[in-house]
Amino acid sequence: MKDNWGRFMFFATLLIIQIVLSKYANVGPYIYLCCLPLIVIYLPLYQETFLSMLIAFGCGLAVDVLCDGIVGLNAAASVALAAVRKPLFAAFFTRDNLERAVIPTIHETGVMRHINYIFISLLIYFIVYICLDSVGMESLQTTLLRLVLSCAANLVLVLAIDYFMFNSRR
Amino acid sequence: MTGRPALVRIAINIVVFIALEVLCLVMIANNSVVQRYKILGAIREAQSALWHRTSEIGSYFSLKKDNRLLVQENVDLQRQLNMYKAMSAKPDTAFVHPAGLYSYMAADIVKSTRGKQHNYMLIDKGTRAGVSEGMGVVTANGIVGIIDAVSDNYSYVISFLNTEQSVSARLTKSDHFGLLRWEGVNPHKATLTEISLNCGAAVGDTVATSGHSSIFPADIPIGVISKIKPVSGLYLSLEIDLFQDFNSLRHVYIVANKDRKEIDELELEEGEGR
Repeated sequence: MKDNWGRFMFFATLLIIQIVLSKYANVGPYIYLCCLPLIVIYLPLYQETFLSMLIAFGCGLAVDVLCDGIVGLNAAASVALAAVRKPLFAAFFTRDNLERAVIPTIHETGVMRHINYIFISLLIYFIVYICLDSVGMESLQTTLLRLVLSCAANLVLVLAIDYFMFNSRR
Repeated sequence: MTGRPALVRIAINIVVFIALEVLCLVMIANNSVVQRYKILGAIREAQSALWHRTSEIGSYFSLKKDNRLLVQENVDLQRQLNMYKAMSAKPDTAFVHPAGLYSYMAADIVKSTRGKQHNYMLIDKGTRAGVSEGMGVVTANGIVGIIDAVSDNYSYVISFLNTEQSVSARLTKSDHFGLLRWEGVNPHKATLTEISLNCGAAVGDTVATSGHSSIFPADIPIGVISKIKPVSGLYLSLEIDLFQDFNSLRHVYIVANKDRKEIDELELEEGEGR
């Protein structure tokens, strides 16, 4: 019960950080700071995929509505990430990791593998997000630049949140 | 949930994923003009591609019907062509045969042989369709054979690829005519004999039916000269490359001379008189 409450608080905090980032952290047209992928990545691994997709959809929709963005954009990207989350984890980590890691934190899985895993997850998220956002209106170079810069910036953000939150909890 | 078979779980995941993504796309399209324009454009493009494919499949299945219509159209055009030919050939005659001297009927080959010295074919039209013995069988690429026997629904055709069959043919350039015969070796070649030395034939000249029989109408192109060979200093023997490919033959036209009965009776009377 206590564990569930803690998890809820963790996700609520991430959601609030996301809303604050979307409303106030405008870092230019090429970088979209976003900790929503972290919410999806940190959903417990024992969770059924369809349930993860529903939770990701709900969180994405909440961000879209509360941040005055295009409704459905973050939701679509979150659902896509939730759909591939488990196969992606299985590709990067061993079965032992999969069984032990209820939440795949950097402490549970190892630094380099964790960074790779987070980066690919962010890449999937931002491919869907940027493609739906630009819908072919931007040039390929601009789209790729947005993709690379957003992935790099968010990787730093995600690792920072990951380190501070779970390190402090330890 | 974990007790469900893997296949069911995958199916549920796919259905939920598609449903949620479609829902997202609908929301995006409803909330942004640019996205709506692009998403609807993509949907319409996919729709058009699907319709195009569907219509292509539909066309494929109606090919047989289309083919029949085309064959019928060919027959009608051939009739019209004959009528115009007859009219232009006899401009000063008071009477012109209303539909030309020859009538055409489309038929399909049911069975045929090609590798023998005496080849034949079976076509799917018989006495019920008005076919009788002695009618010619042609295509737009040349002569095919002559009907030898007829049943109610089928006819037996002696193929041109028969060493005992010969057809009267002429050089279109000079109007010299001779007998065209298959030599029994190459189904793409025939020999035109009894052509006089001064005919002026050259390799590449076209050979067509002469019209000197009541079986085949004149001017059906048969082939081109590929080799010229003098025979005993009096005549030429011309090797002809046939236009007709007997290996790919499926549809033919039965050609009937409308005055044939009259011609036959006259020939018979003349024969008896002598």
